[in-house]
Amino acid sequence: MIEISDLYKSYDGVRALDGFSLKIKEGEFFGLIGPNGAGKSTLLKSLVGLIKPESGEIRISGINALADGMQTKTIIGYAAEEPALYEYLTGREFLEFVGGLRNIAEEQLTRRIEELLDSFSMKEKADELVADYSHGMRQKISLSAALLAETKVLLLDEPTNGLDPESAFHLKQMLQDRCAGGTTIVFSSHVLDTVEKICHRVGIIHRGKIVACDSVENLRTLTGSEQSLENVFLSLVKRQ
Amino acid sequence: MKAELTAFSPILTAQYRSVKNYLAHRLDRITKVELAIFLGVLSYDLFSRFIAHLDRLIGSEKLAEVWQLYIGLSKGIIILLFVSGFAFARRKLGDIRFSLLLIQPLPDATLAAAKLLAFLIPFVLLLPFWLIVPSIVLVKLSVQWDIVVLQMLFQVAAYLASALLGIAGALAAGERRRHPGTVSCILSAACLTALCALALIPPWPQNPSLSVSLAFFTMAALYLALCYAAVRESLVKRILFSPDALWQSLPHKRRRKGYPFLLSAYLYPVPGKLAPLVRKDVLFVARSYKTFLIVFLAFLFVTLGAILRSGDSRNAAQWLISLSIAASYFLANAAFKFNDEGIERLQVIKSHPVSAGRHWWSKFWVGFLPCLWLILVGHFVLALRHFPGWLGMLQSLALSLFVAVTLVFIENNFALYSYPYARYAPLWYNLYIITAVVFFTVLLFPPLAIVFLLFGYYAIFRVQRRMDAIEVLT
Repeated sequence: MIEISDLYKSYDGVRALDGFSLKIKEGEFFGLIGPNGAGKSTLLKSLVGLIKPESGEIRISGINALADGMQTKTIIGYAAEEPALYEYLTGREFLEFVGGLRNIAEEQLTRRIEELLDSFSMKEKADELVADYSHGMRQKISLSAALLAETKVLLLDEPTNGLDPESAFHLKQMLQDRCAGGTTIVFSSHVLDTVEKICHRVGIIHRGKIVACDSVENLRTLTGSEQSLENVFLSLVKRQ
Repeated sequence: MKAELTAFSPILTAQYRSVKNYLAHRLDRITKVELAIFLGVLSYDLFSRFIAHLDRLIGSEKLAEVWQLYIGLSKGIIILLFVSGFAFARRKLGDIRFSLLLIQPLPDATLAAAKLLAFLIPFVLLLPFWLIVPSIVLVKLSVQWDIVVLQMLFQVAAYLASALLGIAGALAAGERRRHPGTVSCILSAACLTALCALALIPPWPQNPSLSVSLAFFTMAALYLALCYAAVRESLVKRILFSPDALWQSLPHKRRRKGYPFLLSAYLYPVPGKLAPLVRKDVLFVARSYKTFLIVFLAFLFVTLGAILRSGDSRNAAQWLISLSIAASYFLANAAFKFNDEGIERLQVIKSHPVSAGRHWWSKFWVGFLPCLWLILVGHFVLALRHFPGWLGMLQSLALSLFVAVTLVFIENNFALYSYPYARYAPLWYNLYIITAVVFFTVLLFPPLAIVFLLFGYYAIFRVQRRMDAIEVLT
């Protein structure tokens, strides 16, 4: 579903992605973990077309994402680490705007917006300006926008940041449902417990390269550790 | 005294920086060059008309009318200063700014006095500007210099009283809890200012004697002192006696419902695919009325100019076209500059299936839509008043639309190429100069617009390539 090969990207001479290669299967829930500055966000931004890698290839559902970004964007839902919203729109208007960009039929859009607002307990605040929202509320709207369309791929950068426990729980459930329905999900997070519980496979990224990629069980075997993903992660990163 | 001044210094520096940044921010949004040229030309035009009118009146010995003009001007400025003082105080006494100052280790009286100084400094700096026109009237009337000086002193007193009244009014009308003393201060200041304005000038041609003048001057000084005391008391009371009120959060007021029918009607001409993008920008304009105000005022100036100058039908058509040009220019400018997607917000667009072309055309429509409605409504209204036949009106309509499309087109290209992504476009300043030149060339010779349209198509490709190349790094 997602094939990344030999991806390079530098910022002012510092390699953010250093020959990064990875394959993610259709309907897979893939967790991406790594220390700060490892290249997780750069990778997700490259997939969605916000950043142009210097070299390498990205294929999403068989489409060359670097050559035909518009085509891939129609099948990707993306939530950034820092929610970027228009402050002068209300939460509902923002979701309507995103629905308009994706040409979702009006009736379906209204129904979907109501569902998402309900799931994230945002119905009460939906008609207030984004400018008045807290960080958590912005995150909920940003996630709702990513989940609005039935896209084949979801790229979520630290989605649980700022979410209250109830919303985080609902989000995980929603993502698992979407995954069961065939959506491929790439989930970047620092919350290793969450990754451990919901992801089919986990990729550990360090200094722009993938240092390990397997199921949590296999990673434990690999490191000879019977402990949590946190210990596996620390052990692998230290080896580098 | 020295200690007080030392305490003022950081506050005043902060105030100065805030005013400077505010002006720079505002001026950035409407290109400095364009605004300067526009206001310069407009001021010169109005000034020369005023002087010519004055000379005509004096030449025909209508001295009473000249005097009425002088009084009218003085009263106009007094009202303007009241409004300015009110608006300025409302802005400067915003909760956040006040709260920031309150957490600093400053005595409350110092803070209050510094606030007052901050209000008075811009007033003093702008004083010569307010005095110049009334003084020209007196000089043209060959009034003796000592009388001119006295009159100017009266003017200063009245202006200051009016500005202070505006500030006091802003305090009284604040969203926070009102203070018992404030209302009485406002009332007394209002009475005094009204009296000051009415008694400012003795009727022409009777020259005021020195004693009468001195009496007026003393009265004006008294008004000043009272107004100062009123404002100071209001401020000090505000700080000393209800600091808790300053920290209360404002009631939640920003529940926006919008006007779906009006918005749909307004957006009717926009192609469906662009509608969500244009709708977003229109909502921004509607909700950022403070930022948009400057464009609206500029537009109002042009409209008033057009109305004042359109006498017969020929003039009306000519001015309607000029109006279309000016409106297109300002609104297109505003379309981008008041809607610019900062690089962070651009990621919303770039992470969705929106092509650079679709984005560009949405911006074009944001600029063109108000022009389209203005031109259509303007022609409809003027058709009823001036145009002898439908053909003339249709010709004028076609020309206005053509000019509007051209200017919005060009302006959007340049604006997109430069302002929103300034860090990627070091040529922005030069491009704005070119825009200004283009604008005036089009004014002088409209057929050149075709060349600019062709050039614009080329520019679109450049702009789109540039937009595609932008990376969202944050």
